[in-house]
Amino acid sequence: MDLILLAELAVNGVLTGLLYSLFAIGLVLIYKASSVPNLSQGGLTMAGAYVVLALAHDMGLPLWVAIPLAAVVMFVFGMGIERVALRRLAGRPVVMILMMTLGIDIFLRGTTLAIWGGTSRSVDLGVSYEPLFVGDILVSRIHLLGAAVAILLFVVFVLFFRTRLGIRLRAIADDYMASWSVGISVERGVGLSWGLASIVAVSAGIIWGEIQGVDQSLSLLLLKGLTVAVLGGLDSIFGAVLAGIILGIIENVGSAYLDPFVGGGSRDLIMAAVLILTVMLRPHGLFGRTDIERV
Amino acid sequence: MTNAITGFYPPNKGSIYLDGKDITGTAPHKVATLGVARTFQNLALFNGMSVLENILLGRHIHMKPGVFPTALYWWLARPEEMRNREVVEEVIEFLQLESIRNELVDGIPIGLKKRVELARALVAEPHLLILDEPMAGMNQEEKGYMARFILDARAERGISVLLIEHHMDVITGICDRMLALNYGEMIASGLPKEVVKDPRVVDAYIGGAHG
Repeated sequence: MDLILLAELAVNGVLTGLLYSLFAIGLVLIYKASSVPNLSQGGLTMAGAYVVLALAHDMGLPLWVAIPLAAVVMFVFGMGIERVALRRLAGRPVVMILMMTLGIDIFLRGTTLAIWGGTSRSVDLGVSYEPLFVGDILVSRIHLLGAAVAILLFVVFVLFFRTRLGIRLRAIADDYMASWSVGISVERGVGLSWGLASIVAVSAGIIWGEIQGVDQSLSLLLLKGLTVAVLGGLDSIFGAVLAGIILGIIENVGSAYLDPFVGGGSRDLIMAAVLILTVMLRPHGLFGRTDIERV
Repeated sequence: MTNAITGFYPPNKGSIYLDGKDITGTAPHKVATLGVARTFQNLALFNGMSVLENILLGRHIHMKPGVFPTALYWWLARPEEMRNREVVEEVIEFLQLESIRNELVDGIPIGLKKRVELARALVAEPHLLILDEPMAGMNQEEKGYMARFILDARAERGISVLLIEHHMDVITGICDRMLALNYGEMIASGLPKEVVKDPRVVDAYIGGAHG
């Protein structure tokens, strides 16, 4: 295999990987505040895309209005999930909360199917499908846009966790009892993290919806997003970005070499291998705090 | 009892009054804003943060949350910030924590952790300070230090202190009034010197040694 092809595979791997990171940042936000891997992040991402579609196509709003509006709607929806479904579970075993998030995911898939049906729809961001030539390397414009959004969100959240509000969220992630004792409302903080994760879900939903179309299978992004988040360390946003890049490269280059032998499907095998090996060898991921394994 | 006052678990019966106001069943983070600060028997510090960051979080109830004031109007937020820093610096000096202010709390010895927790409670400038076994796991010297800090905090800041402690020498040494509980029942109250001699208290603590 020649070098240019290898470079092209690697570069596109990085871009795809950053799109996984875009998804995984939402998981990390919620994990940071409540130590729960949110299994409904896929459902939220899909719902975010559907809300954009409903506002832009069904109601005819221009995209620059529909997208921020969808972000607001989903923010409120995310806060609502905490208020209605999760607050009463506070203090219960984590597995109960985990099952609740799985239930929410199934609920979202069912609801979108009931309202909008299962036919794949397109967001149509107006980004050209013509590939872009960077030197000798072909890259997809929409992947480039998505990668830029992922990096932008990464910067925004790193800065956010340095503000007072962000520091409060970090405190909540650390210790509920201690947070209460210094006057921090844990419930509101967890709610905020769900709201923010839902906004991230809208951005991931738009980009991924543009790439593979909007239907219920969009929620299956959870599997890859979770692999990225676990490899990155679940509570580290930087970890999620780096793990996305690493995984994107391994997946893209690896599958190009392996697919001829296993007849396709090696992408999923690579993902599975990374997830299983991470949990076996380094449960706290690349940048996670070491006490995660005890939780 | 501590958990009932601070709102972590509502009491089974009875009410809780703070400065004449009924606060039974108030959410824990609200109790903190009413001027009640506490430390924990088994420590509850924010691991992964520095000593300074931990103490600053105790100042939380006096900080306005706004992202906007800090981002856009930093000149407006600044006087408030200065005042907060002043209080924090003063408490750090008072509890002699300067040398470890930038260390992670995860790594410091337990005696110092207890002191950081006390600092975090003090910077909130509470009216009522609840100390849940502040001397647990300390040696004699550390206990002496802690007792001095508690007395000074009370004398200089006019804070009421509720101390939960098993070490009788500490109680008789620094407390004005003592209340003995046995499985949630009050068995004696009054001057520490008298309470420790009460036969029911001796019974409960030494387990019928003269029975």
